[in-house]
Amino acid sequence: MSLLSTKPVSELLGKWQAGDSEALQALMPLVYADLRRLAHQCLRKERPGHTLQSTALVHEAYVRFTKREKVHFERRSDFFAVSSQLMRQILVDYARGQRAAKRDGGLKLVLNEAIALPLAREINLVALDDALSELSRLDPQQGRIVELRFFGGLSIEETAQFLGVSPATVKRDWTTARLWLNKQMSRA
Amino acid sequence: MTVMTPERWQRMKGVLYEALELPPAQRAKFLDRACSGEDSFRREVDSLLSSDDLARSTLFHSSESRVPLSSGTKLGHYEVQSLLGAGGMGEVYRGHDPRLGRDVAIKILPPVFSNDPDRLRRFEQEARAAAALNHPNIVAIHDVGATNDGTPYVVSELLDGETLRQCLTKGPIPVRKTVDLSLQMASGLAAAHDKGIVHRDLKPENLFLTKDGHLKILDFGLAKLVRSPSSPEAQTLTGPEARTLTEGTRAGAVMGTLGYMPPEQIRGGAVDQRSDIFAAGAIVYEMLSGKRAFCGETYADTIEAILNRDPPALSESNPSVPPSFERIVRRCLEKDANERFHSVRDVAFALAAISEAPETQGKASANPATVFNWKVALLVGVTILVAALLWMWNPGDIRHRFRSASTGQIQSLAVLPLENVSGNPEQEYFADGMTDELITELAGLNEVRVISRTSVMPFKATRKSLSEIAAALNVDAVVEGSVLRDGDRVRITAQLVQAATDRHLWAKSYEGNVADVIRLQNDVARSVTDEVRTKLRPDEKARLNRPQRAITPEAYDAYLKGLYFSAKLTPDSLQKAFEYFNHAIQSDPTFAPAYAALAESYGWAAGLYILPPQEALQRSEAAATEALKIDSSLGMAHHALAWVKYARDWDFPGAEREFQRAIELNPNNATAHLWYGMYLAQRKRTDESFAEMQRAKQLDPFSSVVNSLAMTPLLTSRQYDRIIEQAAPELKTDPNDALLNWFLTSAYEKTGDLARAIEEREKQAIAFGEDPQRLRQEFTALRREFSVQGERGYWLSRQKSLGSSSWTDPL
Repeated sequence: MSLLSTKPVSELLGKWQAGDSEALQALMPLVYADLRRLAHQCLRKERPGHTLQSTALVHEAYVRFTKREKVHFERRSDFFAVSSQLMRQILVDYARGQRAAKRDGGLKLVLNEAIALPLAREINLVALDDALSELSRLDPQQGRIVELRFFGGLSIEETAQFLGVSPATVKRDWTTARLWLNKQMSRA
Repeated sequence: MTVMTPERWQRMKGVLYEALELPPAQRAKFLDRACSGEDSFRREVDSLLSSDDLARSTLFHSSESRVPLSSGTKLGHYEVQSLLGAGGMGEVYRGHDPRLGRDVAIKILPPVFSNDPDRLRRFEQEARAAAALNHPNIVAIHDVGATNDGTPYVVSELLDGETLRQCLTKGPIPVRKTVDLSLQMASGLAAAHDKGIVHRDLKPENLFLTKDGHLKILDFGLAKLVRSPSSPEAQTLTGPEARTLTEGTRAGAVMGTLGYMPPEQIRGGAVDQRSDIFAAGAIVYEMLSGKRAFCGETYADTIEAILNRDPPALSESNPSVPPSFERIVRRCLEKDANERFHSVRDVAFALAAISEAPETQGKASANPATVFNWKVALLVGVTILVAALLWMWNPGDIRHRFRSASTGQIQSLAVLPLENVSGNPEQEYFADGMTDELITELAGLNEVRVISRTSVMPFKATRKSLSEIAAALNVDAVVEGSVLRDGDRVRITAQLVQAATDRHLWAKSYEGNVADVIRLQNDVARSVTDEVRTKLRPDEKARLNRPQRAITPEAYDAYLKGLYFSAKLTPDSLQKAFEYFNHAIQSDPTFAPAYAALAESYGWAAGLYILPPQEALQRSEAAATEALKIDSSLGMAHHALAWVKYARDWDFPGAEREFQRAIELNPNNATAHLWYGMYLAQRKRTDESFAEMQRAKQLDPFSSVVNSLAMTPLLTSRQYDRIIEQAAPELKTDPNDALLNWFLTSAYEKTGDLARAIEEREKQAIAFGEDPQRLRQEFTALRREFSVQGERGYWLSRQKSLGSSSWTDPL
């Protein structure tokens, strides 16, 4: 991670609480390790028929982080928002690795149940990642919204708050992004 | 196709969104206008919109209510009558089966099935398994089929009543009613779990309360087919609610489904019967408190609560919830599945106990001890019995798997003090007596070491876990249970737990009249025996199969009270034991066990000099002879007789014969081994004596009498230092142990350490509360004699005081 910072955690936390969102970014490497370990633990245990919930993972990482650093987040959703990127990275890396090893990216995953995505069948995470990248090229904010909702488990309101846009915008972008992703992935 | 650019996408987004806001019928008209003259743009919009439809059955699965079937529609040979409701598993219709002339419920599953043959096949498999669950607390499935468009449906019995969810909208459910419903739920779940079927989605919506008070579990095994195990609730709702959820807004009502799922299921881990136990716990919590166990404002908050938080104490919202009930619910709700009850049968067992406790009885009852609700108890009994029977009859498979999973055979066993659940402390003796009886019954079995009563009694009302107890007693398995007595009715509930795995191998409830109590005990013993798989020798079998004669409740009562007191081995308690045993004999002169127990008690009275030995042994002999006349297979009577032949008659071959017969009949009786060991020590057969003592100690590891007397071969083989080594520290922990003190004093005397011997004697006398004035005189005299005349003075003085002291040589 290029975000590695040498600044003490407390200082970064202070800065972030004071409104410096880059400070939170700098904190993320600390979370990354936890998140990655948790995700891999779950993925390793994975057996056919089981699913992994990204929200639960992010949550557990949050709990561990706040316990360890003894901090309290005013807005927990911020933490999730930043973690969502990491989550995506970890899961997609894993899926790509698996695909390389087994020629099969069939990782069963419930990305985020909060947005009612009961993945009725296995989702091709690599295809999802590709589609999402393409969407971000067309509309970076829309891509980010999907990432926050999918991998971070943020609600419409939380997403809107985090991005500083109106809930109506998030809702609109989200609905249309779903159509886009569906089409891209059914093609893949 | 035109390459998508950011600009083009921005525009398309707007059109798409507007189109989606419109009812489908108006979309085409709108798009005609919005995309006029731009064919490729229009094509792309159409393709994206149709991907939304596609999504319904694949990726972004959302449930859309379909046009309901109209009355009269035929599904197979079933006639649809009316829509009963729509829920997570699709719509439910009232239907009619003209062939069998009965009304049925028809559930049409979500369309997601229709285009997935693999799923359809699994659905049918699962439905078949669920249909095989024939249990009064599981809704009966009659048939499965598919509609014309391939959507599967399930035909089940038509129930009249409401779901638990509907019932809960009226507020919490009273404690007793909750116990009843919980037991029914547990009973249904047990039947399913026995067949390896886990529900995976238990929730108030899936529990149906019929008008006649039955609880029925719905949708067994369908959960994992219809949704991913993590059950997003878009499918549990239809129409506007689903939309609300899809938008991810805070919809408290929606969070519910998630609220019953255990952490492992949320995390996507392996799900087993313990997951259902968690859900059941959450449901019971809600029944009692009227509030959800886990509920957050947002989805993430709910997940957080399930993963990390314990729900508030039930007593906060409902003070009438007994603490025992609260503990059961808590244990179901443990985050770690290993910490929960391991089987739903264990839950039922724990629930059964509280349903009997007076705290759950109505406040109106004047005397909770006597006003015992047999209806509840019967229900509990029947529930457990049904579960047990299903367990027994289940053709091999699961039982076999269960067995092979457990580690090896059971070679040692402890019967923990049965709990007195009559709510009346005066019935304590009855429960203890039953424990003794059960021990005696089981102790007669060869190949299994059964711990004696004195060593299990310390675990009465203990807080220790079963595995701790098993470790302390060094046994493979533990029998625990409860006794409930109301007048002449008695009910024993027992379960066998394997220590290593903490698995319940067996649980059963027996009830009957006090007069039949021996038969009940026998049944328990037999079940335990079957379970530990001891090979029964013919005479053992004969003993368990001997005709069970009815005895008078009065005689049995007196007998149990006698056992209770005789176990204490103090002068007062033995006196009481004699009275009770004699009372039992008077009331039923043919009740052989009472004679045998009386004979053993007199034997102890002689050995411990509680009665003049000659007189005590005389009575012991008479009682033992009488017992053997009625039933020659009573081991206790044989070792009582052996003791007489040895201690009074010095008939060593006769004593030897009787001891061996006693041990053969009852290899797990600590007293038989102990007395035989004392005999062998006196006969200078030291090694054999040690072996018997070892066995006695294994059988009764916490009895101070056994532990002390087991030193006899050390004394007879002159290993005094070892006695001092062993007894001195033990005496520090229990300075009042007269036998131990006797051994220590003797050892000091033998080694010539008379100063220490005097010290010990004095301590002992003080501990025994003898008159301090007299003691001071006595010991001052003893010390003076000793200092003046040395050894000779000590012995002279000691001889003088002999007879005034409480303790003399028991050998």
